[in-house]
Amino acid sequence: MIARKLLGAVALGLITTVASAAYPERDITGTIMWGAGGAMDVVSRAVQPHAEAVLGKKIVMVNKPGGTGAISTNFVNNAPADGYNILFGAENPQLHKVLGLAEFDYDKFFPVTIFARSVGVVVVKADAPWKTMTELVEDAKKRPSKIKMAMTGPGGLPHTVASMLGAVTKLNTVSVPFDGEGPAVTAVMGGHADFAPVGVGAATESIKAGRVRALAVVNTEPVDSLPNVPPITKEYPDFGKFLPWGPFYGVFVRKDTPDDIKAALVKAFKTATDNPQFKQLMADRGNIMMNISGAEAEAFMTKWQSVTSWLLHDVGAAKISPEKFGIPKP
Amino acid sequence: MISEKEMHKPRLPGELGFCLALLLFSLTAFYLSYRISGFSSWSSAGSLPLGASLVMCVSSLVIIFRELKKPVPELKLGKTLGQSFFEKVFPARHMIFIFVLIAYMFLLEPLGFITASFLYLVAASLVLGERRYVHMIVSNVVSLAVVYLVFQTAFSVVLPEGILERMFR
Amino acid sequence: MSDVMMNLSYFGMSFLDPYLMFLTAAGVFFGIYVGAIPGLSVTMAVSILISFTFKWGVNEALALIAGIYYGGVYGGSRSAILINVPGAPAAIASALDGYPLAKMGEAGQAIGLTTIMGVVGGLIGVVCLAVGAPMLSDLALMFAPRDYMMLAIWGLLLVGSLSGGMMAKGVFAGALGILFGMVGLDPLTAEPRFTFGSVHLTAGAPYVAAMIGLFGVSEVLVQLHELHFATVKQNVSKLFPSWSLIRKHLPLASRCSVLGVVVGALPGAGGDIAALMAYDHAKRTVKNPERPFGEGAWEGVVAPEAAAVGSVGGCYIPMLTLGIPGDAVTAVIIGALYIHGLKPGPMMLLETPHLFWFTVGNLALACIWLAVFGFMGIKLFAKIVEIPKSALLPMIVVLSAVGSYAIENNPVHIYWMLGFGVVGYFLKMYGYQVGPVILGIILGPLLDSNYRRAMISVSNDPAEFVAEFFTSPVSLVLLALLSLTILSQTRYWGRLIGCFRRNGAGTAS
Repeated sequence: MIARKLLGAVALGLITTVASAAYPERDITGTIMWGAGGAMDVVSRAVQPHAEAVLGKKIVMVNKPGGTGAISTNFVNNAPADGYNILFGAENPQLHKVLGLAEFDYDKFFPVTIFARSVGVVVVKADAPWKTMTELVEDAKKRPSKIKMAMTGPGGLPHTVASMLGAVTKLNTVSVPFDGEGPAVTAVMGGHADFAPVGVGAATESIKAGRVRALAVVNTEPVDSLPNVPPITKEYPDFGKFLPWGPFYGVFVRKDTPDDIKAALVKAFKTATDNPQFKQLMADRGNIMMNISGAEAEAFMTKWQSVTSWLLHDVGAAKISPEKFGIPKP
Repeated sequence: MISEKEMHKPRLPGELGFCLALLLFSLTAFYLSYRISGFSSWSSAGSLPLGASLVMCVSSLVIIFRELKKPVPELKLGKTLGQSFFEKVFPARHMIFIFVLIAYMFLLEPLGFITASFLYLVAASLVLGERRYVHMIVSNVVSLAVVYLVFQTAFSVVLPEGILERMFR
Repeated sequence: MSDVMMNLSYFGMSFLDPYLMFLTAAGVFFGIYVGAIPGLSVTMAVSILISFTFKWGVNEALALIAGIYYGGVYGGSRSAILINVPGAPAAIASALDGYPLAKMGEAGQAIGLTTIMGVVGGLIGVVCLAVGAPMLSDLALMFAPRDYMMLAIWGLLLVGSLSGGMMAKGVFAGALGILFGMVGLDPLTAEPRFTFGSVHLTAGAPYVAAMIGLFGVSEVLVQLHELHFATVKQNVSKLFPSWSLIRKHLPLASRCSVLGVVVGALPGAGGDIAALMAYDHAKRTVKNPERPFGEGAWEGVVAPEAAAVGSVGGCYIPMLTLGIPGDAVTAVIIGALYIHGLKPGPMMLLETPHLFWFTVGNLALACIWLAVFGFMGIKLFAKIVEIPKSALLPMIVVLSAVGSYAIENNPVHIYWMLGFGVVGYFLKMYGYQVGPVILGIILGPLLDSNYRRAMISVSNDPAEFVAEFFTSPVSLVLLALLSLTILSQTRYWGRLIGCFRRNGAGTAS
């Protein structure tokens, strides 16, 4: 058994030296930016089998959470640019510069695919008095610092949507940070907060069950999973300049990876992302499918970075001004 | 484990020094906690660290006060406090054991899991006075193989790779 | 009537289908090893299973996961008892009395007793899930940040019973633990705390590495003083504890498993906190244990084990009824449910009505397998303690290192482990207990974020902060319980100080 493996290893070594035509010739390591059980983990492991089927080799998945993504981006960036180390990452590194977490962001990486982006929705408790966004905002202006908004830490969807809301409507609320979008919805359900801007995925089922009520989706048009909820631009057209916006999930390799390997990966993940089972999963979790790569993906990520960085800067959550990194204003 | 009563009777060599070190650490922690966000608000990021380090400062003062009431460490004839500290609390064997462990940590990534762990096991067993060499090597190899198989194969934990691991893949 | 029949048939599904039966059994078997090996966690195992089982039916996947969950939560106490390295955070409290038992040669019977009590706890948890799920999930929703804060304080009071000789040392260790728990980016504002500009510190002190270091590595270092002692022969002639021993501890186990269910049902508090609170409960209510707590009291292994395994049933409650995870493992299970095309949330039980009773039946089956596999291999396990120390201690270190590394595939965690090990060693040598430190690391973040959340909710107005405690029944009940506990502790404390003074005076003269 060992002898055979040894022989295999030697043979493999020979092949590697002779030709590198057929990528991939060995297993690929997939580094997941967040820990087991997070949304990134679930999405990565759901797409993994479909991508393996196209590539014909295994992808060994490894969770490397920490530093809101800085640990994993560092790790993949320091590994050889040979396509055998790929990063399953979320939007977080795009804010590393302004939050002072790392020197680089996705500018060192090539987006193999961006699977999907998530959309924000503003929810209130089922028996809350506000029926529309305007009612909520007007009430909040009438009673400053009395209405409690559940949100999460800087850079997350709730925080960013809250910043947009503040920028557009100038409402005055108490923001109570929770551990994530799920806990924020739970807090609204339990009456410990009055409203929460969260991802559609975190709230859809509770909305359908009538536990919480949706006032608006943070998009320019209604989303498929919540067809009856009006887009926020209907009441507040000024939101339009920030949209489309939403946290995203994607696969990345180092920018200096050979082009043929990039192409092979793009092809594999394009097919995998198109898998109906995977698309269903993403839709169930309230995501809008994107499946874009290369220049198209880079354009989306650049706009995302500019909108979010400046919002963070304007509410004072950014450590360093986006101007310093040449991030243009939206 | 050394039982409570044994540990408590007279002061151990170095115990007072340890308490003073803890007090110093607590004061530093208090200062660092203050630096997080000062006394800016009831709910600032620094509020609990301030509280915790304050409790540490107070309790370490209480401990020092109590320790001073205890009898001084019993020293063997002709030994200084330092000598008996290294004899009773932190003997050479401990230092070597920790040193070998540190070496293991730093060699883990360059050498790979199997090689580094094997070298560590052999070194550590020797430090602990194991002299049945063949027995030691065989049992180390077997137990390492089990650990490697369980982690790498059954639970796909990618352990640090060296030459040996690459051969098995 | 037909409803009852339907539910009964869902309940029986995994009992009647040999394949489901086998998967549950396999899950429990592997789960025990996942649990017993530090660094391998149930969360990790279930997460790996996601891409492994995506082509299976949802029932098959759930059966396997339920098995691993129960096995893993139970298995954690094995290594805690045998080598003082808790295999999982829920087993920390099991080490406090379990390891002293192993040192007396009673490892076999200790494991036997934890098995029985784990199964009892697990079954009680399943019954609570079956009977009270909707009620308990509504109760869980009523917990406001201030209530979580009180829960954390309540847990921290355990310092009083963990501090060993000198109360001040316990308090110091607890505060030290809280401070360690604060390292990293503040989860509320992302402000760095004690990170000294290092990216590696932003994630905070990894508490599993801390646990392995404080318990395992520091104990190895202490043991270096005792190399010349012969290893303890383990008594493995009688693994199944006597009926009288079981009956004696059954009431305690029942109380602790209900406690486990309630704590498990709270999102954000899981088996580890349940087990620690159960240990505290045991210590407060059992007045005359055969042996003192901390020196091998049976109650000290019964209570945490029943609560930890019981909490599993509790963790499923918010997951099934509301789609909210009760702990890290149920968070992964929710992800798995999505992959299998289900939509976890308040609608799930209406859309897939079989799921509830199928899960209840399956969890009950897992508990039964636990009773079977729990008694297998104890003799072999117990022999581990009889391995000569010169071979055993280095091996424990290697296992601890791999375990620390495996949590996040990060070598930095090994440095943490060693750091905590050395600190733990000196603390132990000078009469500080490491229990309060780990207690602080686990409960500190819970206290921190919920205290601040509660304070932010009232716009930093201390008067209103206090007033809020009298606005909800949950807060009132918790406040009353907490005050009672503190009062009883002060009396206890006074007695303890009196005791200490007398002792101190005795030695001085």
